[in-house]
Amino acid sequence: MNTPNTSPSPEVTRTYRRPIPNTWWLKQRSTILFMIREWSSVFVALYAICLLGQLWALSEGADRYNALLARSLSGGSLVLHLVIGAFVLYHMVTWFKISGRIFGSGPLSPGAVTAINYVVWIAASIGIFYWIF
Amino acid sequence: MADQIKLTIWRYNPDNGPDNRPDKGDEYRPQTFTIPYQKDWSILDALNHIKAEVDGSLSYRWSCRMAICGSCGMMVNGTPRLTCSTYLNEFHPNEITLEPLANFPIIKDLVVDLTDFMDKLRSVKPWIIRENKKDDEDTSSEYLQTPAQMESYYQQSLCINCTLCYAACPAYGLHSDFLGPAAIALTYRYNNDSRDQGREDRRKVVAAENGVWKCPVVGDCTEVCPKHVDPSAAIQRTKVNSAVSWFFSFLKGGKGE
Repeated sequence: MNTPNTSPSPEVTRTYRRPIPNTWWLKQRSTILFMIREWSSVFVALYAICLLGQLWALSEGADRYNALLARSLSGGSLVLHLVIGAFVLYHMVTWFKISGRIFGSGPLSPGAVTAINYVVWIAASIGIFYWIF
Repeated sequence: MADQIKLTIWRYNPDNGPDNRPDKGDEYRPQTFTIPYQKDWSILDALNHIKAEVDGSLSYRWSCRMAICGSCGMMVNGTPRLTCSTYLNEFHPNEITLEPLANFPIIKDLVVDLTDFMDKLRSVKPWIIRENKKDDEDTSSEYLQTPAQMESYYQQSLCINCTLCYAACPAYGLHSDFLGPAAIALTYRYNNDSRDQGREDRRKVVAAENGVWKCPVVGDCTEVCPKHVDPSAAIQRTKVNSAVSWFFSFLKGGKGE
Protein backbone atom coordinates (compact mmCIF):
# COMPACT_ATOMS: atom_id res chain seq x y z
CA MET A 1 0.00 0.00 0.00
CA ASN A 2 1.25 3.45 -0.83
CA THR A 3 2.01 5.72 2.04
CA PRO A 4 0.43 9.14 1.67
CA ASN A 5 2.68 11.85 0.36
CA THR A 6 2.99 15.06 2.21
CA SER A 7 3.29 18.42 0.55
CA PRO A 8 6.90 19.37 -0.11
CA SER A 9 8.04 21.92 2.41
CA PRO A 10 7.69 25.51 1.13
CA GLU A 11 11.35 26.08 2.02
CA VAL A 12 12.35 23.38 -0.46
CA THR A 13 9.92 24.04 -3.28
CA ARG A 14 9.62 27.74 -2.49
CA THR A 15 5.95 27.64 -3.29
CA TYR A 16 3.89 30.75 -2.77
CA ARG A 17 0.51 30.72 -1.07
CA ARG A 18 -1.55 33.78 -1.89
CA PRO A 19 -3.08 35.54 1.09
CA ILE A 20 -6.88 35.65 1.27
CA PRO A 21 -8.20 39.09 2.26
CA ASN A 22 -11.09 39.42 4.69
CA THR A 23 -13.10 40.88 1.83
CA TRP A 24 -12.85 37.68 -0.26
CA TRP A 25 -16.61 37.24 -0.22
CA LEU A 26 -17.23 40.62 -1.87
CA LYS A 27 -15.66 39.57 -5.18
CA GLN A 28 -18.49 37.39 -6.47
CA ARG A 29 -22.27 37.59 -6.42
CA SER A 30 -22.54 33.96 -5.28
CA THR A 31 -20.38 34.53 -2.18
CA ILE A 32 -22.16 37.79 -1.33
CA LEU A 33 -25.50 35.94 -1.43
CA PHE A 34 -23.92 33.15 0.61
CA MET A 35 -22.78 35.57 3.32
CA ILE A 36 -26.22 37.20 3.43
CA ARG A 37 -27.72 33.73 3.88
CA GLU A 38 -25.27 32.97 6.71
CA TRP A 39 -26.05 36.25 8.47
CA SER A 40 -29.79 35.71 7.97
CA SER A 41 -29.42 32.87 10.50
CA VAL A 42 -29.03 35.56 13.17
CA PHE A 43 -32.44 36.93 12.21
CA VAL A 44 -33.95 33.43 12.29
CA ALA A 45 -32.64 33.17 15.86
CA LEU A 46 -34.14 36.61 16.64
CA TYR A 47 -37.53 35.42 15.42
CA ALA A 48 -37.22 32.35 17.64
CA ILE A 49 -36.45 34.63 20.61
CA CYS A 50 -39.50 36.77 19.76
CA LEU A 51 -41.67 33.65 19.72
CA LEU A 52 -40.28 32.44 23.04
CA GLY A 53 -40.95 35.91 24.50
CA GLN A 54 -44.57 35.72 23.32
CA LEU A 55 -45.00 32.25 24.80
CA TRP A 56 -43.55 33.44 28.09
CA ALA A 57 -45.90 36.46 28.11
CA LEU A 58 -48.82 34.16 27.34
CA SER A 59 -47.93 31.95 30.28
CA GLU A 60 -47.94 35.01 32.54
CA GLY A 61 -51.55 35.82 31.72
CA ALA A 62 -53.71 37.94 29.42
CA ASP A 63 -52.53 41.34 30.77
CA ARG A 64 -48.86 40.60 30.19
CA TYR A 65 -49.57 39.23 26.72
CA ASN A 66 -51.72 42.21 25.71
CA ALA A 67 -49.02 44.59 26.97
CA LEU A 68 -46.45 42.80 24.80
CA LEU A 69 -48.76 42.99 21.78
CA ALA A 70 -49.26 46.73 22.35
CA ARG A 71 -45.48 47.26 22.46
CA SER A 72 -45.13 45.19 19.27
CA LEU A 73 -47.30 47.66 17.38
CA SER A 74 -44.93 50.59 17.89
CA GLY A 75 -43.21 52.02 14.80
CA GLY A 76 -39.73 50.78 15.75
CA SER A 77 -41.00 47.30 16.50
CA LEU A 78 -42.84 47.10 13.19
CA VAL A 79 -39.72 48.16 11.26
CA LEU A 80 -37.66 45.60 13.19
CA HIS A 81 -40.15 42.86 12.37
CA LEU A 82 -40.20 43.82 8.71
CA VAL A 83 -36.39 43.60 8.56
CA ILE A 84 -36.36 40.30 10.45
CA GLY A 85 -39.16 38.99 8.23
CA ALA A 86 -37.28 39.88 5.05
CA PHE A 87 -34.14 38.05 6.19
CA VAL A 88 -36.11 35.01 7.38
CA LEU A 89 -37.91 34.91 4.04
CA TYR A 90 -34.57 35.05 2.23
CA HIS A 91 -33.21 32.29 4.48
CA MET A 92 -36.23 30.14 3.70
CA VAL A 93 -36.02 30.67 -0.06
CA THR A 94 -32.33 29.72 -0.17
CA TRP A 95 -32.86 26.57 1.89
CA PHE A 96 -35.83 25.51 -0.22
CA LYS A 97 -33.52 25.81 -3.21
CA ILE A 98 -30.75 23.83 -1.50
CA SER A 99 -33.18 21.12 -0.40
CA GLY A 100 -33.95 20.59 -4.08
CA ARG A 101 -30.27 20.09 -4.74
CA ILE A 102 -29.96 17.59 -1.87
CA PHE A 103 -33.07 15.50 -2.36
CA GLY A 104 -33.78 16.09 -6.04
CA SER A 105 -32.75 12.90 -7.77
CA GLY A 106 -34.43 10.00 -9.49
CA PRO A 107 -38.12 10.59 -10.17
CA LEU A 108 -38.13 13.87 -8.22
CA SER A 109 -36.22 16.65 -9.96
CA PRO A 110 -34.57 19.39 -7.84
CA GLY A 111 -37.24 21.81 -9.07
CA ALA A 112 -40.02 19.43 -7.98
CA VAL A 113 -38.54 19.09 -4.47
CA THR A 114 -38.28 22.87 -4.14
CA ALA A 115 -41.86 23.23 -5.43
CA ILE A 116 -43.11 20.69 -2.84
CA ASN A 117 -41.44 22.80 -0.12
CA TYR A 118 -43.34 25.87 -1.31
CA VAL A 119 -46.65 23.98 -1.51
CA VAL A 120 -46.21 22.63 2.05
CA TRP A 121 -45.24 26.11 3.30
CA ILE A 122 -48.28 27.78 1.70
CA ALA A 123 -50.63 25.00 2.86
CA ALA A 124 -49.27 25.19 6.43
CA SER A 125 -49.58 29.00 6.43
CA ILE A 126 -53.21 28.83 5.25
CA GLY A 127 -53.94 26.11 7.83
CA ILE A 128 -52.47 28.18 10.67
CA PHE A 129 -54.33 31.28 9.46
CA TYR A 130 -57.70 29.47 9.58
CA TRP A 131 -56.81 27.82 12.90
CA ILE A 132 -56.15 31.19 14.53
CA PHE A 133 -58.85 33.27 12.86
CA MET B 1 -2.94 45.55 -38.59
CA ALA B 2 -4.25 42.13 -37.61
CA ASP B 3 -6.73 41.89 -34.79
CA GLN B 4 -5.05 41.39 -31.42
CA ILE B 5 -5.96 40.38 -27.88
CA LYS B 6 -4.31 41.10 -24.53
CA LEU B 7 -3.59 38.38 -22.00
CA THR B 8 -2.45 39.44 -18.55
CA ILE B 9 -0.78 36.50 -16.86
CA TRP B 10 0.13 36.45 -13.18
CA ARG B 11 3.59 35.00 -12.93
CA TYR B 12 5.66 33.66 -10.08
CA ASN B 13 9.31 32.71 -10.16
CA PRO B 14 10.60 31.17 -6.94
CA ASP B 15 14.20 31.88 -7.91
CA ASN B 16 13.87 35.63 -8.34
CA GLY B 17 13.02 38.53 -6.12
CA PRO B 18 14.91 41.41 -4.57
CA ASP B 19 14.40 40.11 -1.05
CA ASN B 20 14.38 36.47 -2.07
CA ARG B 21 11.21 36.05 -0.04
CA PRO B 22 8.74 34.08 -2.13
CA ASP B 23 6.60 33.61 0.98
CA LYS B 24 6.00 37.36 0.84
CA GLY B 25 4.99 37.20 -2.79
CA ASP B 26 7.91 39.27 -4.03
CA GLU B 27 7.86 37.75 -7.44
CA TYR B 28 4.14 37.26 -7.94
CA ARG B 29 3.36 39.85 -10.57
CA PRO B 30 1.25 40.38 -13.69
CA GLN B 31 2.75 40.42 -17.19
CA THR B 32 0.70 41.46 -20.21
CA PHE B 33 1.14 39.81 -23.61
CA THR B 34 -0.46 41.17 -26.77
CA ILE B 35 -0.87 38.42 -29.32
CA PRO B 36 -2.72 37.90 -32.63
CA TYR B 37 -6.41 37.13 -32.14
CA GLN B 38 -7.65 33.91 -33.69
CA LYS B 39 -11.35 33.38 -33.09
CA ASP B 40 -11.03 29.59 -33.01
CA TRP B 41 -8.18 29.59 -30.47
CA SER B 42 -8.72 28.34 -26.97
CA ILE B 43 -6.88 30.13 -24.17
CA LEU B 44 -4.55 27.12 -24.09
CA ASP B 45 -3.76 27.71 -27.77
CA ALA B 46 -2.91 31.31 -26.89
CA LEU B 47 -0.61 30.16 -24.07
CA ASN B 48 1.11 27.72 -26.42
CA HIS B 49 1.59 30.60 -28.87
CA ILE B 50 3.17 32.76 -26.16
CA LYS B 51 5.47 29.94 -25.05
CA ALA B 52 6.54 29.11 -28.62
CA GLU B 53 6.82 32.64 -30.04
CA VAL B 54 7.12 35.18 -27.23
CA ASP B 55 8.40 33.87 -23.91
CA GLY B 56 9.64 30.29 -23.56
CA SER B 57 9.96 30.62 -19.79
CA LEU B 58 6.17 30.67 -19.24
CA SER B 59 5.13 27.59 -17.24
CA TYR B 60 1.70 25.92 -17.22
CA ARG B 61 0.22 22.43 -17.31
CA TRP B 62 -1.68 20.89 -20.18
CA SER B 63 -2.06 17.59 -21.96
CA CYS B 64 -5.15 16.33 -23.81
CA ARG B 65 -6.67 19.58 -25.20
CA MET B 66 -10.14 17.99 -25.05
CA ALA B 67 -11.31 18.66 -21.47
CA ILE B 68 -10.73 15.16 -20.19
CA CYS B 69 -7.27 15.16 -18.56
CA GLY B 70 -8.08 18.04 -16.22
CA SER B 71 -4.56 19.50 -16.35
CA CYS B 72 -5.07 22.98 -17.74
CA GLY B 73 -7.30 24.54 -15.09
CA MET B 74 -6.60 28.20 -14.34
CA MET B 75 -8.38 31.26 -13.02
CA VAL B 76 -9.79 32.98 -16.11
CA ASN B 77 -10.91 36.48 -15.17
CA GLY B 78 -11.29 35.24 -11.61
CA THR B 79 -13.24 32.04 -12.37
CA PRO B 80 -11.74 28.54 -12.43
CA ARG B 81 -11.98 27.20 -16.00
CA LEU B 82 -10.33 24.57 -18.18
CA THR B 83 -8.34 26.68 -20.63
CA CYS B 84 -8.53 24.07 -23.40
CA SER B 85 -12.29 24.48 -23.57
CA THR B 86 -12.46 28.23 -22.96
CA TYR B 87 -12.14 30.23 -26.16
CA LEU B 88 -10.75 33.68 -26.89
CA ASN B 89 -13.93 34.64 -28.75
CA GLU B 90 -15.81 34.57 -25.44
CA PHE B 91 -13.77 37.60 -24.31
CA HIS B 92 -12.52 39.41 -27.41
CA PRO B 93 -12.06 42.39 -27.74
CA ASN B 94 -11.70 42.57 -23.97
CA GLU B 95 -8.58 41.58 -22.08
CA ILE B 96 -8.20 38.20 -20.39
CA THR B 97 -6.53 37.82 -16.99
CA LEU B 98 -5.04 34.44 -16.11
CA GLU B 99 -3.97 33.38 -12.64
CA PRO B 100 -2.95 30.01 -11.21
CA LEU B 101 -5.82 28.05 -9.64
CA ALA B 102 -6.83 29.77 -6.41
CA ASN B 103 -6.36 28.15 -2.98
CA PHE B 104 -3.30 26.13 -4.02
CA PRO B 105 0.38 27.04 -3.44
CA ILE B 106 2.08 28.19 -6.64
CA ILE B 107 5.18 26.34 -7.83
CA LYS B 108 5.87 28.52 -10.87
CA ASP B 109 3.74 30.85 -13.02
CA LEU B 110 0.46 28.97 -13.65
CA VAL B 111 1.61 25.67 -12.12
CA VAL B 112 0.23 24.87 -8.67
CA ASP B 113 1.17 22.25 -6.08
CA LEU B 114 -1.58 19.59 -6.04
CA THR B 115 0.06 17.32 -3.45
CA ASP B 116 -2.54 18.20 -0.81
CA PHE B 117 -5.37 17.26 -3.17
CA MET B 118 -3.68 13.99 -4.10
CA ASP B 119 -3.26 13.10 -0.40
CA LYS B 120 -6.93 13.81 0.25
CA LEU B 121 -8.04 11.87 -2.81
CA ARG B 122 -6.06 8.84 -1.64
CA SER B 123 -7.48 9.11 1.88
CA VAL B 124 -11.05 8.40 0.67
CA LYS B 125 -9.96 5.24 -1.20
CA PRO B 126 -11.56 6.12 -4.54
CA TRP B 127 -11.69 2.61 -5.86
CA ILE B 128 -14.05 -0.37 -5.47
CA ILE B 129 -13.43 -2.19 -2.20
CA ARG B 130 -14.59 -5.78 -1.77
CA GLU B 131 -14.23 -6.65 1.90
CA ASN B 132 -16.65 -9.48 2.48
CA LYS B 133 -15.63 -11.64 -0.39
CA LYS B 134 -17.28 -15.03 -0.07
CA ASP B 135 -15.13 -18.09 -0.45
CA ASP B 136 -17.20 -19.31 -3.36
CA GLU B 137 -17.46 -15.89 -5.02
CA ASP B 138 -16.69 -16.12 -8.70
CA THR B 139 -14.18 -13.32 -9.26
CA SER B 140 -13.60 -14.26 -12.88
CA SER B 141 -16.95 -12.91 -14.03
CA GLU B 142 -18.44 -9.42 -14.07
CA TYR B 143 -20.29 -7.88 -11.14
CA LEU B 144 -23.55 -7.14 -12.90
CA GLN B 145 -25.44 -3.89 -12.30
CA THR B 146 -28.86 -2.72 -13.34
CA PRO B 147 -29.11 0.59 -15.22
CA ALA B 148 -30.77 2.08 -12.10
CA GLN B 149 -27.83 0.97 -9.92
CA MET B 150 -25.39 2.59 -12.32
CA GLU B 151 -27.48 5.74 -12.53
CA SER B 152 -27.15 6.24 -8.77
CA TYR B 153 -23.43 7.08 -9.04
CA TYR B 154 -22.88 7.84 -12.74
CA GLN B 155 -22.92 11.63 -12.43
CA GLN B 156 -20.17 11.64 -9.78
CA SER B 157 -18.11 9.13 -11.77
CA LEU B 158 -17.54 11.82 -14.42
CA CYS B 159 -15.05 13.68 -12.17
CA ILE B 160 -11.71 14.25 -13.92
CA ASN B 161 -9.82 15.54 -10.85
CA CYS B 162 -9.23 18.93 -12.45
CA THR B 163 -9.51 20.63 -9.01
CA LEU B 164 -11.51 23.58 -10.36
CA CYS B 165 -13.94 22.89 -7.51
CA TYR B 166 -11.15 23.34 -4.94
CA ALA B 167 -10.19 26.65 -6.53
CA ALA B 168 -13.83 27.79 -6.32
CA CYS B 169 -14.38 26.60 -2.75
CA PRO B 170 -13.95 29.36 -0.13
CA ALA B 171 -14.09 26.73 2.65
CA TYR B 172 -11.00 25.01 1.23
CA GLY B 173 -9.27 28.36 0.76
CA LEU B 174 -9.87 29.33 4.38
CA HIS B 175 -9.42 25.84 5.91
CA SER B 176 -6.93 23.79 3.92
CA ASP B 177 -7.67 20.77 6.13
CA PHE B 178 -11.13 20.51 4.52
CA LEU B 179 -11.39 17.29 2.52
CA GLY B 180 -12.88 19.27 -0.36
CA PRO B 181 -15.51 18.84 -3.09
CA ALA B 182 -13.97 16.35 -5.54
CA ALA B 183 -12.75 13.90 -2.87
CA ILE B 184 -16.22 13.86 -1.28
CA ALA B 185 -17.96 13.56 -4.66
CA LEU B 186 -15.80 10.53 -5.42
CA THR B 187 -16.58 9.08 -2.00
CA TYR B 188 -20.26 9.43 -2.86
CA ARG B 189 -19.60 7.79 -6.22
CA TYR B 190 -18.00 4.67 -4.70
CA ASN B 191 -20.31 4.47 -1.67
CA ASN B 192 -23.28 4.35 -4.05
CA ASP B 193 -21.77 1.73 -6.32
CA SER B 194 -23.59 -1.58 -5.77
CA ARG B 195 -20.30 -3.45 -6.22
CA ASP B 196 -18.53 -1.55 -3.44
CA GLN B 197 -18.30 -2.54 0.23
CA GLY B 198 -15.98 0.20 1.46
CA ARG B 199 -18.47 2.67 2.95
CA GLU B 200 -17.24 2.00 6.51
CA ASP B 201 -13.62 2.47 5.45
CA ARG B 202 -14.42 5.92 4.13
CA ARG B 203 -16.84 7.02 6.84
CA LYS B 204 -14.26 8.17 9.40
CA VAL B 205 -12.62 10.45 6.85
CA VAL B 206 -15.77 11.80 5.25
CA ALA B 207 -18.26 12.01 8.15
CA ALA B 208 -15.80 14.06 10.18
CA GLU B 209 -15.30 17.70 11.09
CA ASN B 210 -12.88 18.18 8.22
CA GLY B 211 -15.06 16.07 5.95
CA VAL B 212 -18.57 16.96 4.84
CA TRP B 213 -19.32 19.09 7.92
CA LYS B 214 -16.80 21.74 6.91
CA CYS B 215 -18.87 22.56 3.80
CA PRO B 216 -20.99 25.69 4.31
CA VAL B 217 -22.95 25.10 1.07
CA VAL B 218 -21.72 27.95 -1.08
CA GLY B 219 -22.33 25.85 -4.19
CA ASP B 220 -19.61 27.37 -6.39
CA CYS B 221 -17.97 23.93 -6.78
CA THR B 222 -20.98 22.78 -8.75
CA GLU B 223 -21.11 25.98 -10.80
CA VAL B 224 -17.53 25.63 -12.08
CA CYS B 225 -17.44 21.85 -12.62
CA PRO B 226 -16.72 21.26 -16.34
CA LYS B 227 -18.23 17.76 -16.15
CA HIS B 228 -21.43 18.67 -14.25
CA VAL B 229 -20.55 16.35 -11.38
CA ASP B 230 -22.42 18.49 -8.83
CA PRO B 231 -20.07 17.99 -5.85
CA SER B 232 -22.25 20.25 -3.71
CA ALA B 233 -25.21 17.87 -3.97
CA ALA B 234 -22.93 14.90 -3.25
CA ILE B 235 -21.66 16.64 -0.09
CA GLN B 236 -25.13 17.57 1.17
CA ARG B 237 -26.49 14.08 0.50
CA THR B 238 -23.50 12.61 2.33
CA LYS B 239 -24.36 14.89 5.28
CA VAL B 240 -27.89 13.50 5.31
CA ASN B 241 -26.66 9.89 5.04
CA SER B 242 -24.10 10.55 7.77
CA ALA B 243 -26.70 12.08 10.11
CA VAL B 244 -29.16 9.20 9.52
CA SER B 245 -26.39 6.66 10.11
CA TRP B 246 -25.40 8.47 13.33
CA PHE B 247 -29.03 8.49 14.51
CA PHE B 248 -29.55 4.76 14.04
CA SER B 249 -26.21 4.02 15.64
CA PHE B 250 -27.31 6.17 18.60
CA LEU B 251 -30.66 4.32 18.84
CA LYS B 252 -28.84 1.01 18.95
CA GLY B 253 -27.02 2.20 22.06
CA GLY B 254 -23.74 3.09 20.41
CA LYS B 255 -21.93 6.35 20.82
CA GLY B 256 -23.53 7.58 17.66
CA GLU B 257 -20.34 7.34 15.68
